[in-house]
Amino acid sequence: MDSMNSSQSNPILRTENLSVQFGALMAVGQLDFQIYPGELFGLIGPNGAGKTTVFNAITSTVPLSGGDIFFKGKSLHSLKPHQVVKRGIVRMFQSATIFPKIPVMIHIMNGLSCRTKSSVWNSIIRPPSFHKEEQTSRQRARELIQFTALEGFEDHAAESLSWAQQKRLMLATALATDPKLILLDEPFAGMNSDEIAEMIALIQAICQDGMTVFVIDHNMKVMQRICDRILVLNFGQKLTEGLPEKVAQDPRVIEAYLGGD
Amino acid sequence: MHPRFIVYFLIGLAVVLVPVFVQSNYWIYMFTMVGIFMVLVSSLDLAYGHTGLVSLAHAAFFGIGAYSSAILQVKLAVPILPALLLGTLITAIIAAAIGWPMLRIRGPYFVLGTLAIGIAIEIIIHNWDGLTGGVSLSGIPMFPEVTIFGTTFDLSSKRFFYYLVLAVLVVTQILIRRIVNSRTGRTFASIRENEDLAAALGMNVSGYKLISFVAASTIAAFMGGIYANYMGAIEPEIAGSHMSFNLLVMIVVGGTRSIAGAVIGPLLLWFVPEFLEAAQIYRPLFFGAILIIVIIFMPTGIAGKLRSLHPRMAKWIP
Repeated sequence: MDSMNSSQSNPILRTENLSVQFGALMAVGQLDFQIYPGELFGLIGPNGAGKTTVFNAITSTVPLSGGDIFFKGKSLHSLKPHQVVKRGIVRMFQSATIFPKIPVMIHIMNGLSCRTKSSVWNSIIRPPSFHKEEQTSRQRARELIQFTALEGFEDHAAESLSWAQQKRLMLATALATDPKLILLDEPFAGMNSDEIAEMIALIQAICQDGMTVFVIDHNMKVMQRICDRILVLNFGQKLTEGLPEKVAQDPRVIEAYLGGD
Repeated sequence: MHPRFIVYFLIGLAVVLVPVFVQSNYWIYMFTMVGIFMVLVSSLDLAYGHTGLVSLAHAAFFGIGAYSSAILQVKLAVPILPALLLGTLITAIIAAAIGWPMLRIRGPYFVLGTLAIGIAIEIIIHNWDGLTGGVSLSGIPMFPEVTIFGTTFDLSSKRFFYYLVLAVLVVTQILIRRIVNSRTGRTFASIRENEDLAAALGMNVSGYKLISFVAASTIAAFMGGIYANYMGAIEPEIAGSHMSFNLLVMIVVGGTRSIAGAVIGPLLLWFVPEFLEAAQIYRPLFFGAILIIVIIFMPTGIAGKLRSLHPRMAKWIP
């Protein structure tokens, strides 16, 4: 998305003076930024800059010390993590965070749980609606298995997959929640160049489907290549924000993030 | 038909025919008691094996169910069936009231919390003489005789209770299998495997933990109500943490998330010690030795170990 489109539409996510403090440490301080629908927005910064804390704040896994976060114009203040997901925001964790013993098919169906309605009573008495919902869930899980190239692993325990497959499984499970905004925390970490290329293709396909993507990663080259805009964070403060090529040439970014050479 | 199902059918048939061929009331009592333990272990498995909630208060809900139903019958002359259902409902409400704050704490803190609840409930039952009878509540009515089409059935007989407990066991297993193989069961498994990830995927972790805890407690309470009528007198020890600990050991030894595990645990740790005099005398030693052997050599329990021997074997162990 170019900057003109960004300015014309309402942001899907907006932060106002977002602050997160851990004791005396200000992890994120008075951060303002906007992400627009369909955008692939990147967040970079050195280790300890507060990038993951921004994700934690958006997903309500850490309390805000100040400011607010708005998703589609509504505040996320005081929501629980599962309620944030129901609003349409989902997150993929930095490490391959999975349900280790659960087979791939069921793993992805777990992502669908927040969009399905079958109650404990329905699971006991099993009316036709129960079977219909199970069938629909399986069908959607199969589509996501195909999308993330995990065919043939449906019955394999998640822990038996390779690192890159586990990352793709997490992406599929996150997509199963039917999000409008997906937060990807270092999706390329620990991958070789072929696996990175596969993940990039998946992320770009997600964006083409109209989903908004907010991604954190250390790989500046990849981020420059895929992101519409990039926000740079240093010591919890916004250093700069803009088009990838401009950000990459910013002397403050080079000094703080790329080492100043 | 697959040979596996023929074997299951023959085992089932043998279990159904036990009262026909076993004349001794003592042995019927023994089989009934082991059935009661199987129901308790199965229900604990829903919370522990499937959801990952290590509860040392499970017997407390068995006890509350037994006492609620018995008190309604003895003190308020409520008929058996309404008393049993009301006692179960009361226990479900108490389990929800205790579980709601308790399930917000995790891991060892939750275990210690449930231990404290188990101890507290036993003490409360023991000391609330006016309501609970103190050291023992006796005079719990037997099931009446019922005449259907001119045939009289003695529902207070040991044989009737054997079939009643067997029916409760079968229904419990069906209920648990249905819950486990559904969206609810998948959510329980997610919570067991990775609670933070479950929440990050939109699952209401506290809500589902509460459902699992209350469902397990409700099954235990219903069994408690039947136990009270079966025994005619009950003691506070049935609700104690020692009993809860025994149930937990049974499920660990038998194997979690398995019908076979819920059968093996009580058979090995309740039935065998009662059957073998030496094991009965040295019961704590027997319990300890079995537990240590299983933890070291079979961390997934006996059923889990048998399943792991061969993929074909795994299909034979339900």
